[in-house]
Amino acid sequence: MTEHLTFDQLCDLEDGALDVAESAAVRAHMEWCAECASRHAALSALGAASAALPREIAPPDDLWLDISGQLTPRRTLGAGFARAWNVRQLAAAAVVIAVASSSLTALVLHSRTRVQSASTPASAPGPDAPVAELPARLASAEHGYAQSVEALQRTLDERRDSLAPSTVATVERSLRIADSAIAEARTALAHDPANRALVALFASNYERKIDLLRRATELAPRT
Amino acid sequence: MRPTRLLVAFAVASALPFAASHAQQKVNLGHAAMPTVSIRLFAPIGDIRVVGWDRDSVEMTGVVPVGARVEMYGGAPGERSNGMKTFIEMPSESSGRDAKLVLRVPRSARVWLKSGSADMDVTGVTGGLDLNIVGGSITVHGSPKELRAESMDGSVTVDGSPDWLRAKTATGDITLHGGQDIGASTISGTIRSSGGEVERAKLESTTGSILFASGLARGASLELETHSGPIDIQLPLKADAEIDAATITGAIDNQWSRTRPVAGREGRGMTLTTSGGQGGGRIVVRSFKGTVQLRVK
Repeated sequence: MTEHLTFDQLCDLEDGALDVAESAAVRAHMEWCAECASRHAALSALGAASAALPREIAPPDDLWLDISGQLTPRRTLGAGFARAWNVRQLAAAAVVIAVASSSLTALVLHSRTRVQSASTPASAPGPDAPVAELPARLASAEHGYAQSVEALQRTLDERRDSLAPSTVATVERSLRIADSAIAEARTALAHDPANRALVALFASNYERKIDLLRRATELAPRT
Repeated sequence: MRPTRLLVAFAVASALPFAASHAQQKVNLGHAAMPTVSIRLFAPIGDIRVVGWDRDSVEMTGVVPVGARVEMYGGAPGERSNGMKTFIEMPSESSGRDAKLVLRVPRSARVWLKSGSADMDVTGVTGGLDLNIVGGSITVHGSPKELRAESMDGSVTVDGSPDWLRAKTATGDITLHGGQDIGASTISGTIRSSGGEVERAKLESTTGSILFASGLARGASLELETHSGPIDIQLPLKADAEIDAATITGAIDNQWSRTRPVAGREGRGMTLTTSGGQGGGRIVVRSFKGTVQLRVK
């Protein structure tokens, strides 16, 4: 399997829809293909984030008042409208609106949570401060990155002796720089999880590290 | 060995002794090729030149150490090949440093070239290039349709405007001169883009600095991102651009427009939203703690 995995294959793996042989082949591919491993990690993170959402959110008490307030005037729109929309259809429409409103409410509630998080002081702690934990959705995303890093690091460790010492030194120096940047962004993000620019910088640091590891594992022996 | 991958020539067998005192031998291999032939070459050689020419053939010449094994597979003799694989195996790890190779290919060819510590120089190829080194340098003259250049501590320099360009290094510097779709990424190298015109680009580094002084095409989209490296953007005073810059803890110095940056979230870092000309182009700048400077070019 030399081509990248398809989106369907990654989804099927995540959904447990592959048989044992297919699953093993796909996982074997991801052992050395950082791109596919990263895409799978992103899908896993998405699944985890979705699973963490509440199963249902009660609409605000005044929602029905708003809906009925908008439905009532429509009854006066004319006989044509009244003929076209019977009570059952109006009830169905109301349910649709309620569901849509619940979704919007969930988004708003989520935004409010994020705004409240954003009000947490963003100052980065000193070097001796304990490492703060990331919110669940970011921790899940980081877990995906960490899995890719671990797999690639393992491959690189196995190949280390076949590479020139100067190359190993360059890679290790660069990995230390990448790790330092990740740690710095992580600490700041733990204190300001709603900062979208910070989230993007955190992810970029990880992606550059993963790309460096991938490239290092693909170097020819004795180079 | 499969017939379809017929060995065209063994350089070891055909090469003439170059000079006994240098312990080197000449390489002179060739094969007819389609204009869009794909060529794959692994060459642990110190100096490699690739030249695009107006002939439907591939030619490899140069000098390599005595004992080096040079092979080129391209199908049956006389058959115009659409895919060729070439490799050079050195008698020892360090013996390739003084070797030199010139690979002449049809201009529209696609070339995959991998080496260790080498100076790679490519001229006149308009097809695709996939170049990979560890140290040394990659220099591409002209404007290939596609260019991927990767190194660890080697530098990457492109003086043309590829349609699609991806350059990556660990510590090596990247120097660009425009292009339609550009991606450049480094851990600690410097990225410079000057001259030419950019349509869409993402330049990113961890600690390396970024200098952008290229022109912006109409409706250009540019993303510049560092963790701690400084970002220096030089634009014409009337550049059509909307700029959205933000740092987490770094400073922003805007000398391009009258808009002053403001303090970022919780009073840390800075943000700047400004525009010039007719707008249209969009520049997004993000840095954790690097300084961001906007200047008039």
